[in-house]
Amino acid sequence: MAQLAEALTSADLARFVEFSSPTLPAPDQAILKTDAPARHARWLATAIPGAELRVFPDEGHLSLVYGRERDVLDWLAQQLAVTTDPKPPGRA
Amino acid sequence: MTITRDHDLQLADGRVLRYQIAGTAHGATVFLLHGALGSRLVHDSLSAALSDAGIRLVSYDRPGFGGSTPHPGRTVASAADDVAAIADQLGVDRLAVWGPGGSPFALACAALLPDRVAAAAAVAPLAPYQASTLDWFARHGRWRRPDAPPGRRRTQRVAAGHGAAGRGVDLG
Repeated sequence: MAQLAEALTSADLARFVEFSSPTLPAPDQAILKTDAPARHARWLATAIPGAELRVFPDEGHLSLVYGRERDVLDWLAQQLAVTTDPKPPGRA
Repeated sequence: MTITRDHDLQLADGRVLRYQIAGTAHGATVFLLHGALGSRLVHDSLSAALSDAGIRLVSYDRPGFGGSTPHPGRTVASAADDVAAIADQLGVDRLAVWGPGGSPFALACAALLPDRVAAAAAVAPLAPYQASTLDWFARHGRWRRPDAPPGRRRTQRVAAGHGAAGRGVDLG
């Protein structure tokens, strides 16, 4: 965590607090698969307490954003539903 | 219901943050943190997914992009202050952050706003440059270690990375 805090900022170190949120580092593999190598996500998943790592072996940086967005958004909505409201979001 | 009108928030230091709201009007709130080649507009192709997931997406121009004022001296962590300011204006207590390209900023929000950020999705993220237990540049296609000698090594590395897949990616 110290490394992560140092990366975020050196001036704001005093404000740094431990991660308490679930996180989803989703690494990159296929298109531009060397652009954000999966080992970066694996490092983050190890460094961030409670992090959940998901690997999409056939996806790349851009295809994760524009092809797997529903997976990510559903996961985020699920996390928000668990922590804020017993009703699933989107029923309004 | 999709709303894509621009909103400008003037901060106490005089800067302006421009953002859009898209997706489901009363859905769970997700902030989008765009990457280096992005803006608040990157959500444009995501409207169907937003509606299906029941999410209200807040997408803002990070400082210096689009309609947001540059913020000299900012840090990655500064994004947390900017997200909090927009959330204050919207009256949002709980939110999630999504970094399709802006994963360090999304993680900064999760770290610095723990009472507010319920979840963070870091998509194809980069680890901190200072991560001593990680060979940051190994097999990296676009960037090289600053002290690496000039030459063809980058192109070769990209070609090797794609190997038998044969994708014609040339990053120059």
